[in-house]
Amino acid sequence: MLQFQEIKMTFKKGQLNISFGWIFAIIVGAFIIFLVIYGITKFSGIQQTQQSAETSRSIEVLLNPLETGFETAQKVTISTPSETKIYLQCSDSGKFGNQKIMTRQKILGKYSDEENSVNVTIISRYIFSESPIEGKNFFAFSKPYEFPSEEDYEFPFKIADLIYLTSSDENYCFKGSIPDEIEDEVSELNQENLFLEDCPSGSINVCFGSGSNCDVEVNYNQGEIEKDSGVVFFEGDALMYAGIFSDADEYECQLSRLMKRAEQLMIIYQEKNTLDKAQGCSGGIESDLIIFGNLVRNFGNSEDIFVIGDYAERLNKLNSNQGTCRLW
Amino acid sequence: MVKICEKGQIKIQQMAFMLLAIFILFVMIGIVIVSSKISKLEETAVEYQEQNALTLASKIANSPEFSCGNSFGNQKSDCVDLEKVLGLKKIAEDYEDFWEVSNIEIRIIYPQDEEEIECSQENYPNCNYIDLLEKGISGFSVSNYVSVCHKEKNINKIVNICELGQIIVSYEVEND
Repeated sequence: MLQFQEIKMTFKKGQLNISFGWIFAIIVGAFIIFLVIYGITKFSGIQQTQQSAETSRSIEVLLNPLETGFETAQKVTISTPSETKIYLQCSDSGKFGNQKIMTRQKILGKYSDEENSVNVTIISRYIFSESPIEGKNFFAFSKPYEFPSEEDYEFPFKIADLIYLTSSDENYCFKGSIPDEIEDEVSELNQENLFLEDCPSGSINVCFGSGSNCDVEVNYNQGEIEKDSGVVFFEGDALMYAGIFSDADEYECQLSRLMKRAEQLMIIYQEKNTLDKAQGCSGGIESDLIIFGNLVRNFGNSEDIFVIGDYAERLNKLNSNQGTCRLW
Repeated sequence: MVKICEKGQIKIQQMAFMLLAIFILFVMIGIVIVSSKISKLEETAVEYQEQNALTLASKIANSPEFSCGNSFGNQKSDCVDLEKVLGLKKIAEDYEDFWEVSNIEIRIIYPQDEEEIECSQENYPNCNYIDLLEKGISGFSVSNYVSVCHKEKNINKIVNICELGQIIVSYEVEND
């Protein structure tokens, strides 16, 4: 009983020892520490956002040289400060559709949060890639997308430059019965992750015709590409590379965007035709321009590319016959 | 008893002021860091826009909406088809955000006319400039020398005429 009273007394003494000043300091101190931690977290989030925005924007800027010339295939290398995941998202809504680039960078072994990443929207570019692609270095090359797509046409009209983006960590092994022009182009391009022979293990196998262990099957004569993400159709080498290097859904969306651009270009050519007519040109291509414009406007999916391609051939012949009054 | 209370109150007040001072110090340091970061971010944004602008004029001049293609003989680089640009002007609204620029102007600088006449469907080809987005030149602008080509009737014959011109691309620096 006596012992119990002593303990009770000690407790009372202890309670009295914590003054109001201490309680006040602890509460306010805890509040300040909380604010500092909160600030640091927010600040590192802002840093990640800034880095993401900078990387996405720099990718956009670095791809500029791919669009300023007539060269058939040009390439650039993009290096990022740390391991980066690049996400590409295509939308075909609106007059031209758009493509969003988002990057996430590895900081202290962990990729930055998605909420701290910034989307950079581009309307005038067509980047074909798997999404996401991961690495520190990336390779990009471009090819003009023209109608008609076969390279033996003298005066094709260009729709846009297509950009193919791949990670240096992923190797592509082209095998099977590769058409000569593809073989020449890939070897001339000299891109470090594209192989025609002595492919490293773990490469993505791109088989022309039939083959074993194929990740991507290209039926060049039929204009068909089969891969895990689906089957897509192409006409011409520019679209073939697009099909090889991108997801099926992304390919279809980008193709739809290209058709939208072609539709706008048809309007411009119709206007040019009217002006040339006023100067004395026959302007006989007018109705075909309208029909072609309608064809690209009603584009549904990549299967329609063959019908559009056939009409482009007709349009091209008519244009070539116009002599000095050629529209393109 | 009253004296102890007063002493205690003074101590609490001292501590409160101290804590407040620490808090204000942290806030001020934070403000300095954040504002320096923001100004750096703005600098980076301007830098990217300038880098982009360097190739912008050439990129636009060689885009299918502007370029001569094979219409005036062989394929030419940095050659603007005046007829296409006139056609483009009709649908300029659709292209407003396409190149992320505020305006594009094409000027024929040689041979030089005394009077400035803006090109339209009615006065073509007797004109010397086109203001594509009609916003005037604002913000920053970059320019590039180009050939400006068109077709003209010359004694029952259609001839290709190419003149020395300039493509002026203006863009605004985003500060938000």
